[in-house]
Amino acid sequence: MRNRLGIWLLTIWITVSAAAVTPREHFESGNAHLARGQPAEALAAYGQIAPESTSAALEFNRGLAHAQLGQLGNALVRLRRAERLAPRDREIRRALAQVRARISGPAVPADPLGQTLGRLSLNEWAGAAGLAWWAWFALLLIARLGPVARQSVRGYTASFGLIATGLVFAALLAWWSRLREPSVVATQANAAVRISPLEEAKVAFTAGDGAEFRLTGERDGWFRVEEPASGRAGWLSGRSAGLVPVR
Amino acid sequence: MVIAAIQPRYPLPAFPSGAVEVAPASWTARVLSRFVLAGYGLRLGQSGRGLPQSNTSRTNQTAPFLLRPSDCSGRTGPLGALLLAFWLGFMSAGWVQAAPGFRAELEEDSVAAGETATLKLIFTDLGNVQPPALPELPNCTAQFAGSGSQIAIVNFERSSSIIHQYVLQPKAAGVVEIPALTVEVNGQRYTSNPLKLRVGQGFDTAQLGFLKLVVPKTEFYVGETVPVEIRFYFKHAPARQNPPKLELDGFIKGKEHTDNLPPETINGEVYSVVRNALALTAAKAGELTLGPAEFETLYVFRSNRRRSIFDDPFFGGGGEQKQINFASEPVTIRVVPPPSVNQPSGFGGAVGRFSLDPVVASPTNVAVGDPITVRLTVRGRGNFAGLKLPEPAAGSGFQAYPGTNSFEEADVLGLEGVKTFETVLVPEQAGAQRLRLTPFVAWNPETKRYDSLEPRAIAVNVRPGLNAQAQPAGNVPVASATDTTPSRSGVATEVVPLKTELGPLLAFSPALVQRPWFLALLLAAPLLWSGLRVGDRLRERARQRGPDLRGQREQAVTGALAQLVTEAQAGRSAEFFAALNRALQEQLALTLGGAAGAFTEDVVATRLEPRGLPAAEVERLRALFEALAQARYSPVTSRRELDALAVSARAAVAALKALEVAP
Repeated sequence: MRNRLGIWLLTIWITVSAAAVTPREHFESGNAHLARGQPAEALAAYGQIAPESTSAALEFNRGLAHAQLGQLGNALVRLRRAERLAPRDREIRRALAQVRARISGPAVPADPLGQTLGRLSLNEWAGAAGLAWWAWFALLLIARLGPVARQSVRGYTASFGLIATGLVFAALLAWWSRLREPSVVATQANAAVRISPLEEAKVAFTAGDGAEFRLTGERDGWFRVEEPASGRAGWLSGRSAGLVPVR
Repeated sequence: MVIAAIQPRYPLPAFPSGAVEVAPASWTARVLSRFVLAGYGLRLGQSGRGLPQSNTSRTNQTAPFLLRPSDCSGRTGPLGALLLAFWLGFMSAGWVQAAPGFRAELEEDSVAAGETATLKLIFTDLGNVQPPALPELPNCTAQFAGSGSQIAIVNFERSSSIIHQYVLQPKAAGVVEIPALTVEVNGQRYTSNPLKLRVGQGFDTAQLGFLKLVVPKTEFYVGETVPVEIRFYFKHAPARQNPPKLELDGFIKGKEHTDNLPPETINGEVYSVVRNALALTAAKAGELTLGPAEFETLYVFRSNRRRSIFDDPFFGGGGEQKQINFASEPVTIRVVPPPSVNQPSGFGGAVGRFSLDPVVASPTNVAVGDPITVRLTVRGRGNFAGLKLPEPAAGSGFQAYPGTNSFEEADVLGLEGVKTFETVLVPEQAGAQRLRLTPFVAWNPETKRYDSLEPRAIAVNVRPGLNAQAQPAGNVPVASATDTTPSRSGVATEVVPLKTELGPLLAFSPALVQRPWFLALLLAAPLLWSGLRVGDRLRERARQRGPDLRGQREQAVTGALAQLVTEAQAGRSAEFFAALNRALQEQLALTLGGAAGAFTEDVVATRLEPRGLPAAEVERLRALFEALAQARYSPVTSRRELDALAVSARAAVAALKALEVAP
């Protein structure tokens, strides 16, 4: 009985230890392959890490590996995911610009508002707005304690009110801007954009590898997309496109 | 009879080029005899070779009035030879050597303050005496101005003099005493005569103009370059002037520029302004004195005296020239070094405000050992000389070679401009490299902190050379090696460093704004606030309802007090005490809150005394409560006593009203 318990405990410890160490080992292994000019092996190593777990560094390095393989659409998806996680990382932005510069087809129109608000992630905007919002109400509550308390927080209450309102507005604006951003990226050359979400449907137009679309709907593994530059719309299969989550 | 000539005073050639002595009688006689013997056709220049050269004898090739053997060269006629022989014989026959001596003379014995006088120190028959140093003269500057020589034959007494001249410039009115000077020549001491120079009131230069030293600030940093101006304000332009001088102790002078400024009106007088701007760099720390600035001018004044026909303006005369010197006030400057605390390591003494243009490197795709030219452009204002050429960061794998720099001035003083550094770097290892250079460091006197201008890292792709090396781990290009797709925006392919830290792993969960709990949390605040506001409103309503009850009670108290009087007059004891009880209870309810009718005598001690009810009123209230208690068993019927109780009740109610708490 005691031996069996020991084996169980050892198994759990090994599992936990392996789970804690493995992602880093895979990551470093992938980096080593990438540095040696073996992007396919690097992607294989990165792929060992659980798909639901990610980080900006992992997405970035995967993006570089795809870029070295010439898979510009996948590279763009990975780098944009990395940017969503670390919006102020200069290396990511530079690599993103490099990859976008190599993609053929119409460029996505510049969005100054989105670029400005994109300096913070959506969660950062929301967190800042929530904190300021609650701080404002905390000050209003303090002001209710009596005339002395009201007098001492009077200036702060007004300032926090303005800040909180501004941040909430900015967060909503960032959300709206993020929703309008092209978030679907074609990951195959000549990806077919069909008029309905069926393989048999007529092809409305084709998209090059790395073409970016605005997401207007989703059904059964299909994305309803709209081309930002031309406004053309259609359905793109999830197998030939990658999605950059709103974050 | 004086027959020798004197050299001209100005310009005074330096000794010994101007000194001449005629040969002593002995060798003059020999010359004469040889000349007579030679007769016609003899060249004096040739015979002069045999002239004895004493250590004091010199030949002057330039003095115009002196007898030189070469002047007599060539053939002379018999009459000329006879005349010359006669002259020489005449000259040599009766010469007597004068007694040696040393005396001082002043050309002008009185001058105005600021004007100059010439002092001559004359050494007669003492040979070549060096100019002696003059002692310090109070309120007077003295400057050696040159030397001359003089040969004189007076009444057959020949003398040879060396004259040293000094220019004296007294500064203030009074008398300048020049003491007797003593020199030692050949072991013998000679003393000159003392002199006095009378100095009158000088010319008031303020009538003509003034000089001003304009310094933008009085605290500099060591290495800081600051524009300084010497401004000459004048009402009348001088005929001639020298460039202004400025005493610079601890400052390095840079470029200068002179221009005219628009006329200025000062105290109702219009002045023309000439500005001499110069760039000064503080070279050492401490309290330094800048100036005074001095400006020497020459003015020509109309003269009322006309000494000769040549003083007439027709001949260019008629004016009196006067040297006028203007001087400014000195300025004290405090020079401090840039702080050593938190001083960046690359600081080379540059002080100013600078900015760095993007770095230009070419080519960026090279083989190991190929040169890369890197150009850095710094713009700004200040002391560019202190900017050091950046070097590759330590261990970067690049070898730097000495660079060049050029400066393009943006202003006349060279304070503002663009400095371009160019250096050659050679990569030593293959691979995708990031070339990082050390920053430019400068102390910014405006923000009072060090500015570090860090050049942006340059991506360089280094191909293997003859000795190929592996690409260093950590950097990868953003495109595949075979990718030849042209860039749609012209952005060059760069190498970027791989991320080596995995960072915290997380899932791409929906954003906060998409989560209901977050939205609920945001909404909770205004909801809570609204709830509190509703509570406030309800309380307010309740409070507003309060005055109705209060009014009723006040009316009840008033009515009860009025009834006391009525009942007392009527002698109705029971009604009287009922009214008294009602008045007290209602008033106590008003004062203390709560329901009327619940108050007993205890309330006086427990609640009213602590609230500060005066002792007399306490006693009065107790008496009223006792009267009420007593009335149950043996009520008072006397009208007088009832009246007294009514008065007492009125006073007690007034005292309780005074204790009422504001609603």
